[in-house]
Amino acid sequence: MVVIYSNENNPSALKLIIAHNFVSAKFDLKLVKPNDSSLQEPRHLPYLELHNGQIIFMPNAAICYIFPVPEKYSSQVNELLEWETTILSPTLAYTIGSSVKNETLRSKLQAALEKLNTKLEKNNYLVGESVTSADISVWCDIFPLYKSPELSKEYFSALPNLTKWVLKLESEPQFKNALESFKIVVGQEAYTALLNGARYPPPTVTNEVQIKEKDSPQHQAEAVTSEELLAAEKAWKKDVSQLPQLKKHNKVVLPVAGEKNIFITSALPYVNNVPHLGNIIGCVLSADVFARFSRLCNYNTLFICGTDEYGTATETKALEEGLTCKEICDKYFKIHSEIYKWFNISFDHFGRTSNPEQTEICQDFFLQLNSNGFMFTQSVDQLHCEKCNRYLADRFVEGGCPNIGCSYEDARGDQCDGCGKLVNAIELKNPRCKVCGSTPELKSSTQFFIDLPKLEPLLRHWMKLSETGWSNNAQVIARAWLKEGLKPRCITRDLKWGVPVPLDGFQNKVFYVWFDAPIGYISISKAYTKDHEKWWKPAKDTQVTLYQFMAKDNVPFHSVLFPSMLLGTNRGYTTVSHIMATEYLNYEDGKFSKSRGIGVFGNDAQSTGIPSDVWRFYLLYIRPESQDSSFSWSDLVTKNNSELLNNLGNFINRALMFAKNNFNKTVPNMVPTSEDYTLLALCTREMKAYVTALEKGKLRDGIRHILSISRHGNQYVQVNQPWVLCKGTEDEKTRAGTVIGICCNLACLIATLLHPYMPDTSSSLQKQLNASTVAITPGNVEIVTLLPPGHKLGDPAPLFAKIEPTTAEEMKKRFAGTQEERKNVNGKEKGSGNNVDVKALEEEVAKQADRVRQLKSSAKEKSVWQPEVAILLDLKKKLEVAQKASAVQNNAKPTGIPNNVEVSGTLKSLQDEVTKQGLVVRKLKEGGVEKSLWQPEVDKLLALKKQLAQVSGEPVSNGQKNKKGKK
Amino acid sequence: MVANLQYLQNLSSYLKVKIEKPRYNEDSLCTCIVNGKIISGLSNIIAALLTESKSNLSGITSLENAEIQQWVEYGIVYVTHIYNNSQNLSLILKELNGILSRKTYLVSHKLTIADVLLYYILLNAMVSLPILEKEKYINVSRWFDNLQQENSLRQSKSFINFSTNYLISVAPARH
Repeated sequence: MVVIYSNENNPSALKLIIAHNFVSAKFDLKLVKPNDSSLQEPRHLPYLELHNGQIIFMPNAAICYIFPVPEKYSSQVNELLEWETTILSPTLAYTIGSSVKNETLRSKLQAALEKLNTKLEKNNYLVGESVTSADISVWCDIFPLYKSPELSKEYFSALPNLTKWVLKLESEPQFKNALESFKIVVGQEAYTALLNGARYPPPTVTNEVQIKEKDSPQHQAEAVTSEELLAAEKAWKKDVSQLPQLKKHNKVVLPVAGEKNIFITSALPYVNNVPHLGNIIGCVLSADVFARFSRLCNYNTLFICGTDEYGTATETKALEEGLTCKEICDKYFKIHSEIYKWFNISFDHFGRTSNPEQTEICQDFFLQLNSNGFMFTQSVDQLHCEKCNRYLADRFVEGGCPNIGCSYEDARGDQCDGCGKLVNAIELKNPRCKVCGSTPELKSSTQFFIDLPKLEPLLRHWMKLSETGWSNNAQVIARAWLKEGLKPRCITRDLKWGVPVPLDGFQNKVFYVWFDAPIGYISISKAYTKDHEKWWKPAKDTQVTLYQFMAKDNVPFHSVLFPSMLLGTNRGYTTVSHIMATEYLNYEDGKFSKSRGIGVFGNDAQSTGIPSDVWRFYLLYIRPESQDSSFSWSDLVTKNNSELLNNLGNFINRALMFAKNNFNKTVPNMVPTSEDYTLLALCTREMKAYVTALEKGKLRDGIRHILSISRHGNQYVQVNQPWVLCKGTEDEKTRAGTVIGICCNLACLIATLLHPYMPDTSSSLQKQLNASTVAITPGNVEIVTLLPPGHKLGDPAPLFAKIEPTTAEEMKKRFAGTQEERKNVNGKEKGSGNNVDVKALEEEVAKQADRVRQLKSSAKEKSVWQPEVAILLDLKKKLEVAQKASAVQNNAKPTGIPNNVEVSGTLKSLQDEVTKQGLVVRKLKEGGVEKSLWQPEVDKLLALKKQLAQVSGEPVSNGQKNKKGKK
Repeated sequence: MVANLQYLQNLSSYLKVKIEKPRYNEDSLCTCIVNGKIISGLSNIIAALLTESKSNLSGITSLENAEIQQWVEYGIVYVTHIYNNSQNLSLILKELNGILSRKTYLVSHKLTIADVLLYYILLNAMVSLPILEKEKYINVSRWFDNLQQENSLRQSKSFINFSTNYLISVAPARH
């Protein structure tokens, strides 16, 4: 027999029963709980189970199956049913059945009912002249609403036709009978059952709506318990002097026995490239927020990082740019440090792995592991290029992909770009040296291996104890490695740029980058302080907790390889207790790529004119914590405008401006009532959640709790309307003072909580409040009176600026494609005569934009900043013209393969001529002269270029060295 | 919501039937013109597209047609919400994974419009789904991978990688 499964009270079950009644079919009814695991997937209720065990779980499909719709009405009925299932039923379920009260949803429901009322004006049934599936479905939805006296009064009083229809159907036998066999408790309970059964996804609610959502103070009162209220009141009566002050930092932070000692590292960025936003949020920025938070809690906090400099990739890059490895490292180390400085990353020390400490510690590690018996040597076949006289690292070989089914010709020695699989360099078909192109020979060379299988028992034991504090993805990845079983790993290489192996017969070898890179953490801390062993080998009574931040691709090194090395030395080194791994950040739905130059890079962020705090905020807001997330320009703009400007900034500015204008920049006297304590209790709750989230490294959640506090604050101001109160009676004036005083206090709280995320904003807010940072006590989170009555405030000024939505489009365009392409389009190439103007102009624009922003944010009169804006616009126009001109010129140039070779002296003179001629042509073109005038000059230029190409033996693109060689 | 119109476009180009003026009507249902007639509601539009294209993607028995109706409803009521928040996504993937554990196609034993519609709705989510998640929802991955083999369905989009040998891509043993 056919069985209807439903939870109690679910009005949708009635639909199936009534449909059966119409065709006089028999059925069984089984009442179940919504979370019963024996139910058939997808476990939505009600569902219909047929004779063959198949189920139909969407009510409308089931009704139509049981009680088919006459052909001529089918399209009308289907349309109504679709409306019922997408709009009416979920809206009812959420508006009545859930505890969320929401104005938009309510009015949506009202509109839906009115629509039905109009439809029934001239008809007895929704479609046609008799009951169809549409009537059954809609009727069951609204029947429990109509039957509840209060709800009926609220929703049905102006809807006579609908009322008539509900009553008429109720009296029909099929309906009457169904109501007898399946009891429904009317009102909210029915819709809670509907929601629990159907599990509709929550409706999307916009911010503005949420503000309205809790208009009534009673609603807030419902939300907090009396204990919370009492606690809030008790806490409020304390004042700031009872809070611990923030520790002054010693020059060198060292762990102290009996205190919390937090050691934070961020994955060492590889030196050969400029970091992109994904790298920044993945390690340094996340680690920075955590470090700042941990300092706020008065923990002894050491935060280090540095550039990872040794290895093949540096050598490749050095060849590419025609510099030595050292020069490359120096160059990029500087770029890295500047970018992190701009992002306000609060390293205690930002070092580099090419320091002398690295060599010392790395060699010492190796010798210790060797004497502990965890090393062995083995001969390895490697490709050797005669012409270059070197062993070829995997990245220096190319050839046909050896994987079956892939015929890609240019597979790299480590991985094939064609099929994505890993490649063993010696298996490549027709291998060739990437540098000179000649065919390398197979030679064997003896290498050191770390015996991971021997270390595995130690590691497994350690991991069991340690992994509970890791982020989920880190646990999964590490376990997968152990599941596969560990294999010995080669740790030396025949390269030049690296830490030499300190044993006879191995002098011409260096350590492989993954062996030496994690040791960088130790060597960088040594470069920071001679007492680094206090962190790495703490005294017995001192507890050091190591947090390591990274993106998920780095997890194996930190969860398996580095701990194995540390354990293998048997010296009691500090091992990681919290691996904080992020997923990947995508760029506008594509991938960020350092090697291909796609996305926004550290230095680009600077050039957009968007303050670094806003970047920090947005990156943390979308931090890819539990799954990959995407960076999008339009989202950045929206979040800035909706969350920072309209929510957070609006709340703070409102409070401070009001205090300035009505209370003479002083915190007024406060007489809090239970309503105010409710607000404080709600905010305490958010603050507690904030502390818990941050302690667990859930940085993304932390920021949302701050925004919730200001959202509560905004609602509070909206409800109390201090601008009305302060014009009223004495009592009302006191009330206004209380409201504003509490708001100023919340602003002060926010200033502290915001510090880890937006340090600049936090300190400028503190200046406006004339307050200083206080410490957070994670064991006892409460909101005390931070700014007592009579406290003198500073001058309020807007904290955030609006970003125009058009900016998103501009940025999207500006950062489309790869870095290489952008350069060509923008004519930014180094040395190209024309781009000097473009570049200079760009700088001027950026400068001017800064000036304008400053003026605007300092709340000066429009008349002051208006002229500056005019200058900015003018500059922008000029820049646009220059960019266009340079683009035209670039297109006119014959494109060729850029040369890697230094250009010799004789070529130089020719090049100079080309450059000169280029200038002449450009000037003519820019001057808007007719084509007939500049054409001869262009011809001359082309001829010169041709000559140059012949001399240099290579097609020359632009008469200057193009260092970024591309294959 | 705007996305629903996108799926409509996908279906129209897959079935090679032109639709005109796709938009939302005052009841927030999609509506468009097919072969000169204004049609409202996704299920009605799909029915019209199927008739016009003479494809064999509809059901044969009345039960199969009811199932198709159920999946179209499920698609618009539940699956389209996966883009609102990540919780919805994992819920839906979990449900579908359970359902697809015993099935090759959603309805009967052949490709129907139900598979096609859900393929298009899920497409963007699958593109950015981390590889570990793909493995977690292995039945959805299998079903999706099977569908994307059909060129006309995939249209100009590239294949989504469902290789489960994830360690290779997640954790190469080299820098």
